[in-house]
Amino acid sequence: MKKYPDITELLKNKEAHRRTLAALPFEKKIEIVFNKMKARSEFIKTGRVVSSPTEARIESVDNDDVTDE
Amino acid sequence: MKETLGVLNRLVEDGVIRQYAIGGAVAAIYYLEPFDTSDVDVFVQIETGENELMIFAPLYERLTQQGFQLTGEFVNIEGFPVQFLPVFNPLTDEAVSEAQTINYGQVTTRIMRAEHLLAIMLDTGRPKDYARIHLFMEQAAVNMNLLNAILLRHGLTQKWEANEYRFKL
Repeated sequence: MKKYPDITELLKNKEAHRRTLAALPFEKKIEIVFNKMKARSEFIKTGRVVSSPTEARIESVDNDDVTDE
Repeated sequence: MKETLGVLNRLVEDGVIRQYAIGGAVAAIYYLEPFDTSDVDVFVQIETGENELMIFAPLYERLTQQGFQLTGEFVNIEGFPVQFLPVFNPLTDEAVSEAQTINYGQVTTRIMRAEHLLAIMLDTGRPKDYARIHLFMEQAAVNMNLLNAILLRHGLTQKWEANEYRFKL
């Protein structure tokens, strides 16, 4: 039988990270969401990728933490 | 965003609208982890007058006088697309009246309470609303006594019970 890795710890860390994001100050959360939106709009207008240091940091941690609305 | 909220507060001070509260995704983000959204939903209590179709005319007139641009159903206020929605039933009216005042930097603003957001999402009933109710139950402190009272007051208790299995942890 094929052996699969145990990802319990990964899932646990992911959940902990989601809780960390949820606990951020409201101002910070708004900054994350709307900076992403502005970068997307800019990309659509100019075709150039615009990324702020905040976004880059968040995306490097876990790309799907900011889920689609 | 601070500037956007300042503009909203001035609309109340100047009597253009009676009261407002942030609802929708931005209000949910106050309680939950951040997720993508493209606008700020602002529910407003506003005098309807005789012509309901013109309900937002004074509001839009004021904002355009101040130089803010209307794009489709949004008003771009200091870089943020804002969608104004009139309170459209007793539930949304109550959600605005009983919203909590919070500080955003040096500015105060009004955010709908988690329990009202849940009731509105249940009432709206799209798949993404149900998914978000689940997140609220999982992540946010929801006062179940308060929620049950709201559901009862607005005839949503049965709908909650019928869908509760979706929100269970």
